Order: sequence, then C-alpha cells, then structure tokens
Amino acid sequence: MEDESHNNTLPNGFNTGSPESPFLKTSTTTTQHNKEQDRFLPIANVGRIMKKVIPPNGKISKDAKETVQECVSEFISFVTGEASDKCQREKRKTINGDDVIWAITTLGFEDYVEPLKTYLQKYKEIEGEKLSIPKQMRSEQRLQQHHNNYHDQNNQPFNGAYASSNLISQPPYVPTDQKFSLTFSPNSIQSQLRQQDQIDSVGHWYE
Amino acid sequence: MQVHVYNNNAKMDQNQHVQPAQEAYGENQYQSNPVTTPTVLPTQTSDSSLSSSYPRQHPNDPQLEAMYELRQERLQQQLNNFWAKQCQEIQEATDLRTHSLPLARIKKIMKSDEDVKLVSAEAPVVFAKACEMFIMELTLRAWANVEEDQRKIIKKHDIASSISRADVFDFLIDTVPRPLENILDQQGFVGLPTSTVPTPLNDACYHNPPPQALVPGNPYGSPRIAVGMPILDQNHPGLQIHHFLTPMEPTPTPTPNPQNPSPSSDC
Repeated sequence: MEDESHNNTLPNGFNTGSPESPFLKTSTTTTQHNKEQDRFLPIANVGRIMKKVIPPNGKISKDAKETVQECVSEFISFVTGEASDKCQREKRKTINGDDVIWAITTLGFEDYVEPLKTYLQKYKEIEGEKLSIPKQMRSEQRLQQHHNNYHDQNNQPFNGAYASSNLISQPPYVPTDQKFSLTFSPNSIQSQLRQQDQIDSVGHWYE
Repeated sequence: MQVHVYNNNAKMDQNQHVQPAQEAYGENQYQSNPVTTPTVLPTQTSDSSLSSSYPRQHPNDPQLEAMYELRQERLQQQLNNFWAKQCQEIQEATDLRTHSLPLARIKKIMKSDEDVKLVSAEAPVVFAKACEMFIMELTLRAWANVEEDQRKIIKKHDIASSISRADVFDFLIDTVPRPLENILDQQGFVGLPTSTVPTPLNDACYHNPPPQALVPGNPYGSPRIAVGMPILDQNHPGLQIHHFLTPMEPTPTPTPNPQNPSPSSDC
C-alpha cells in the first residue's frame, strides 16, 4: 500500500512498475510524468554512485535513493543560483566552470574545490587537444560517446545489438569471398559445357 | 536480572565497554514486537528533561558521550580518506568524456531557474563531478548512521539524519521531511506532554496509527525504572526512534539484521 502511494507521489521514469504502467498510456499523464522526471537525475545513476561508497553487503532502499535524487537537484539549483548572481553582478551572461567552482566554494563545500579545479583543468586540456583533431574524427568520437551514454543510462541491450551487428557484418565477408572464388571455376566449366551444347543444338537444327 | 532475559546477542557480554548501549539496542529490538498498553509514558514524562542539540549526545553520561565522539572521529576519518581518494582519482583520470550523470539533464535543471540565461559546455561537466561527490558524501554519512544502528539498509531517515548534522547541508532542510528532524529534536526534551508526542510520529511514519508508534516504548520504561537506573532511562528514548522507523517503513529487499560486525568494529 505505502509503496504504491509513495511511487505515485515520486514517480521515476526509469523504475516504473506495474502500478504506474496503466497511467503511462495516457498522454496527459505521460506528459506530466516526463516533466516531473526531468526535475531529477536518473535514479539508476544515483543508485550506482551511492553503491560505490558502501560495503558490498550494504543495501539502499528506494526511498533513500529518491531522497538523494531530490537533494542533488536542490544542490544543482542552489549552486547555480549563486553562480548566476555572480555573473549578473559582473554583467556576464554565460555561466562557466569557474563560476560553478566559485559558487561551491562560497557555499561552504571547501572539500570539493581542489578535486573540481583539477577536474576542470584536465577537461580544458582535453578540449584543447580535441580542437586540433580533424573534424571528422571528432564527430566519430562523439557518436561513440553517445552510444556509451545511451547504454549506461538505459541499461538496454543496445550495445549487445551493436556488437552483434559487428560480428555479422565483418567476419562472414571473407568466407563469402572465398566461396565465391571457389564456386567460380566449376560454374565457369559448366557454363562452357552448356555453351557447347547450345552450339551443337543450333548446328543440328540448321542441319 | 530482567535485562539479561532480553539479551539476544551473545557477543554483548564480551563487549564490556559498550555494554549499556548494546543492551539498550537489544531490548529495543525485542520490545518492539510485543503489544502492551501505553501506561508507562506518563512515568517517562515525569523524568527530568535534558535539552540537547543531538539526541544521542548526553553530557551527563560520559560513557555514551565518549562513544558518540568516537563515532564522530571515525566518520571524519572516513570522510578524509574519501576526499584524499577523490583527489587521487581525478589526478590519475585519463578519460574525462565518460560522465556518471547525464549532462543534458544537469543543464535542464540549471536552466529551470529563469535568471539563468547561458550555460557554457564546461559547467555541466563540472556539475557532473560535483554531484557525484555530493551523492557519495551524503551516502557515506548516511551509512555511518546505519552502522550505528547495526543495520544493513540505508533508509530515508538516514539521509535526513546526516543532513541535519552538518551545517553545509542547511539548504536541504526544506527538501528532506521536517517531521523526522522534529522527532530527533524533541527526543532531547523528555518532559513534553504525552498528547503532543504522537503527532510527529504519525507524520514520520506516514500516517501509521499512534498505538503502533507508542507501543515499542512502553515495556522498556517499567523494568528500567524498577532497576533504578534513571540516567539510562533519559538516554534511551533517542535510540527508540530509529527502531520505531525501521519496521514501519517498507523495505524492498528485507534481510535479517545480524549484530555481529558492529561490536567488533566498535572495539
């Protein structure tokens, strides 16, 4: 009972169970559900990160994950608001990475600053290298990243299907080529024989 | 004599330093099962009241206070190790293109504020890492709470307790349900009238009937007072809260609650 009512109160797009499936069929409910879902980060990602810091035999209840989902969204809004205020005071329109780190420092999360500065510095270096890479290769890397993200977020067998198509497309090609070259000779011989038959037939007809 | 009857954990006898608290845990777990009349509450309310910002921290009992400080030190050490590990992992990281959180969703949350106009590409990247560390810190603090109660499942109130104990998380007070925090605060004021106690319990337990919330505490008061240990009586109400909430909240994967690891870790 409580589980069902709780799920209705805090819907999560990635963990919809049987109680919610009838509602998902209604377009109005689906629209509202999607909007509510967009306010939070995916519960699967949140749960995965939470498991990193607890012992293997530890467990996390769903309501704990949902509470952390809400806390993270509040954290993003809280820090973004502080960064936005700073940009407005300085008459800038774009919030950048340094603004985020500044806001996090101002709001008391001192422990986060050193890791984030290192992270942002590394990211900028990689982005700098990225610009020197030819455009075509860069788009290929983005496509690959897109596939990885899609797989990570949805836990669907998309990657499996992709790997399967790879196996189907490339390895059988060589055997086919070999078979073709192998069957060419006997076909050629048979073709010559048939041609001779046709000639004889034509000759006989004329005779 | 009566205390030993309720003692289900054999290892508690071996752990002399934390014996009072361990006995309290065992008794609470046992007493949460039987159904008795709520006639003991008036007696409890007549005890002298102590005000405290943390329900588990009672200056009058140096032993419990030492245990609390020991746990705080352990948590701080775990957090220090966590942050050192974060710095090391980022230093050694080579692939920064794989993010544990979707950047588009982060950007959407950022732009939910109408004052936010433009967001550079690097801002969601920084947030992805910041949020990952935020989630891990919250979980680490919540797990320390779980270990205190000798449980294995992190629940909603563990997150709430962790948030209420650190000033840096004050911005989350409105996000996490207040009633639980009220209960924790009120446990420091044992002198509150009986009629006001059930209300926050109902809120915290999602409208469970008051008798269920009141029952676990009743059998405990009688034997404790008979034994003549008033100091422990004042300390135990705070412990009962966590056992109230544990069986009432639904658990997706119910598992037995072994008490073996905690005593050894406390030593």
